[in-house]
Amino acid sequence: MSACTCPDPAPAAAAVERLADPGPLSAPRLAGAGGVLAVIGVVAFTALLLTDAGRAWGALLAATVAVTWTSLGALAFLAMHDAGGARWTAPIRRAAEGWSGGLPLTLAALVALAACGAPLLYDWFALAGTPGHEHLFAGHAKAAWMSPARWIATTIGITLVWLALRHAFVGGIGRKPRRAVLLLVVAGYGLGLFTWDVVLALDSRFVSSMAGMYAAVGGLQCALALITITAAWWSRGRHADAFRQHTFHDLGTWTIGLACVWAYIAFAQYLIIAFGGMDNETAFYLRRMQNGWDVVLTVVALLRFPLPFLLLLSQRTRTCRYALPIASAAILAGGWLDCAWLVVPHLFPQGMPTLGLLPELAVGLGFAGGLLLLALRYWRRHGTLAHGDPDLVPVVNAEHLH
Amino acid sequence: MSAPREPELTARQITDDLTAPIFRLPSLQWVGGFLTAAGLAGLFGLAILAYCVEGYGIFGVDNTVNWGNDIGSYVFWIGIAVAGTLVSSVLLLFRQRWRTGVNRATEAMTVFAINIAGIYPLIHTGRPWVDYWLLPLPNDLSLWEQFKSPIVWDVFAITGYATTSVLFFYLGLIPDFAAVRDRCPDNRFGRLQRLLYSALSLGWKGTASDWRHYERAYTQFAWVATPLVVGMHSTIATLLAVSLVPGWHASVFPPYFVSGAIFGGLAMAMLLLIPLRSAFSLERYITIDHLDRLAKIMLTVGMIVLYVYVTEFFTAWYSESAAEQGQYWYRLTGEHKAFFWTMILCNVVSIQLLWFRSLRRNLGVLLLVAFMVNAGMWLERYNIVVLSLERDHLPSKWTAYAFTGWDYIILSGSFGLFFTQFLLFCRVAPVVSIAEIKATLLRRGRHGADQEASHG
Amino acid sequence: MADAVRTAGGHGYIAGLFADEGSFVAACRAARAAGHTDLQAWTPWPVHGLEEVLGLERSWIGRAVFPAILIGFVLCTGFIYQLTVEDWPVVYGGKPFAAWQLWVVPVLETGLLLGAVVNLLAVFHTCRLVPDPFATLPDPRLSDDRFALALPVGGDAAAVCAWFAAQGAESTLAVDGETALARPRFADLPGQEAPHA
Repeated sequence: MSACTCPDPAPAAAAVERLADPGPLSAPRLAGAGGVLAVIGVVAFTALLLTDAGRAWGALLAATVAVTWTSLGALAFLAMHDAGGARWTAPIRRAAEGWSGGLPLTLAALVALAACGAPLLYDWFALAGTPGHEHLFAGHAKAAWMSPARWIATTIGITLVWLALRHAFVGGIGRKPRRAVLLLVVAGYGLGLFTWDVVLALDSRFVSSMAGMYAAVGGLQCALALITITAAWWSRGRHADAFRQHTFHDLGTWTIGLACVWAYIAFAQYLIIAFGGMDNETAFYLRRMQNGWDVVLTVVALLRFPLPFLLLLSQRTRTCRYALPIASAAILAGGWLDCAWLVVPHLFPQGMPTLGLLPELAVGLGFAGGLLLLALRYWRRHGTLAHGDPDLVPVVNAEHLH
Repeated sequence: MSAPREPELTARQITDDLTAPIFRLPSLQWVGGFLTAAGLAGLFGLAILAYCVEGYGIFGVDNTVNWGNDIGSYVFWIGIAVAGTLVSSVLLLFRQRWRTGVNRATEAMTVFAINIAGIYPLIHTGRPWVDYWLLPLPNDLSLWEQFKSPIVWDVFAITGYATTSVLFFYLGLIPDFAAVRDRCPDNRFGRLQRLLYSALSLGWKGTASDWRHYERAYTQFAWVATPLVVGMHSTIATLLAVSLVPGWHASVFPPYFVSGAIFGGLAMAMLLLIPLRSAFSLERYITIDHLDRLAKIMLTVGMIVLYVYVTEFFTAWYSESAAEQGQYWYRLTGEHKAFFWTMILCNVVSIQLLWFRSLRRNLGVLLLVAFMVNAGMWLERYNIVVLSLERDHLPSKWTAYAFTGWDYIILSGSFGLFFTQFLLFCRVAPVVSIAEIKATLLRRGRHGADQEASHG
Repeated sequence: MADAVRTAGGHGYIAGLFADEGSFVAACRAARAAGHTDLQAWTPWPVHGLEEVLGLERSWIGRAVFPAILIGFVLCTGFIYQLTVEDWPVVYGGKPFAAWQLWVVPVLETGLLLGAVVNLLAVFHTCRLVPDPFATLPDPRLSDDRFALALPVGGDAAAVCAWFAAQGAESTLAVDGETALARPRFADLPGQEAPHA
């Protein structure tokens, strides 16, 4: 790795006694951009709905999965540190809390899917109530499990529980270890079931016990990327005194670590399924690794692992103003593309649909705009820095490192 | 009346406390423990001798359950070995300063467990005199070993990990060996000790420049060891998971094995640390806080293991595979169901005690939970390896596996060998890293605040 | 006293022995401020921030490990390719001869092992660690509870000793600053007297 010569995002500075409070966040241009993105998403979804409804719901599902995993990832990232008694996250607490706000989008999308879109995505959902439904499964128990009513109850129920837990966890001052533990247990176990129902259920014969972990690590990685970009943004003006080099170093180390963990989980799942050669398992990968989808998978893998890994390998680049946000942006792009790769090939196994993945991207951007607007709303109400947190100033002054 | 306040620790006091076991005669308890462990280790050797003379048939394996106690215990000991280096490395990378109290003992645990683990597959080949075939050498027909086989991956993984963990362990010991070297008494035995520790410490000088390179290398080791150890245990998981045996073919196996290994390894670390701190008066170095934190990590990974148990059963049911469903039903209700339910009691029920702070700080409870988790993790490997093979895809092959006397002997002997090594280690090297604990405790003292707390 | 330090130079070294880490670091800082670059320091444990105080560069060891890992990857990949594709290809489980996905584990393990070995050899080399049964520190307490800072001294050893005393050193001794071992090039200093004064 060549040494990065760009300046640190927040060079070492003298210790501070208190941090400046610039007041409520006002970012009209960013809010405008979020609104424009949301409109683009709505327009793209409507256009798709009129031309190819199945594709429209597929695009919506991919975006929903991406936003859900990311929001939960942001919550879990903070909760992990709260539960472990870590303090370095004090400056990024509000950033993480803000980005965890996408669950209402999940709820809205699930309601829409339950009402209209699910039969176009899940064959067992479409066949419910017909003799064909029973024929999909070997036994009555699974047939009963794979029913629309159960699916709706489970997915929406889990999302409501997550929303309640988020409400109890975010905001306020200081670490909340007990709530963090509860959140981690419930969110972790729930995410497994949610991923089975929303993603794996696209092919009702496919099983992978790794799915929950894949979702969890992917969500953590994307959430960390958003938090990092936000920290880099605030460090350049709004909170120049709060984000020091050591915080970016920690964010960089976590970014590189999670990139490795994602690669590990993704590769282990692939290796075991590919080596095993069971038809119900390999069909999932075969569909997603031929007719051009292998290129998408390659891009996903590059964006989520080697690119951030190599970019941040050097300690210098790990705190670099440019390298860290670039790696984070790559991870975000890879995160969305990963979700698209999980969903869209199910609808288009013969190859890339018309206009490639651009319409799906437009819908995804719409969800990103929605998430941004929700995050901005949160920061306007709760501030962008957890002033009053007893850990904040000591962490900014790097006292926890000495 | 409040208890008298203990005097503040000084560097000299720390050196004295931590090197004392090296310079004084062993206690009766140590001698008793050592003789017991060494006796069991002797049985281990006896079992291997009997195996070499009589052949592999002395153990309970048959054509169906051909991976019996050997492979189950192999995975168990590998798991113990994983936890030591992983805990030490990961805590270092996360800048958890409290690791200094426990990292030396856990690294030692790794080294001693991995050499036991390594013996099992070498026995298991059935013809240990040709074990060198495991190395990438061409055979008589110039045919190389098959690199697409997980068995070969395993050879690379174990070799790489064993070497790296020994190097990591030794690198950490060098400054402490130098401290021992400079404190050897000036008598005949002391001079002999000095010669030995001088050689072992490799002329360590402790200059600022040395520390600069040393600390960098130590951190680098942690960076290298972490993926290596995760990869190593994941390789063992793939050894089972890439096959189609019911109960083995699960994509979650690699992280499942890694978390299970940390779980069992931490339990073993507690079993070692709790008596150790009492026997060598190390309560100020291996504190209740350290054990509390270890218990929290144990609870966390225990919950991940529970998640995997649930996922496995759900996957088997969801897959609608008769073989998978039959396998898991067999575990619940078959003739070895007691093993499964005991495992649940040990690995799932017992750790729920650790949700309570008062119980996490109760040494008796910790010892009990640690013992149960160790037993539970051994049973888990037994259930995975043996029960899956007992009920595989071909009903006409189904058998019931049972231990022979030699299986019991070699299993108990492996524990004897492990504790023999650990007890010897306690007498020849500081069981807590002197340099690291000084840097942590005395720095905390200087700053006047509890900076030992995690950074995270 | 800073003037005395600045004028010190030559072949021998005088070390000040400190019982307190704070005074030791302050002395290091003062010596650096006085313009000294040829310093040698001993500590019983790694002192946070001492590298910056002494003006030491970041260790180069980190730069050696990553290339070693990459070399390990390349060597192992080449090795397996040669064996399983070129030398004697065998159909195994219907997998292609060059099934790189199935090589990942041995390649990863080999690369990391090579990285670990190079890491260890690098620290042995750079810290000159060899089994030396006769190596002794300038003072045995330097691996226990004492810190030492050595300055090169020419003709004005007494001034250096006095400077150390002013910095809070509890005693001074003559050392070989080049090897950092207790092999002084001139006799031990009796009190504050300089051997070549």
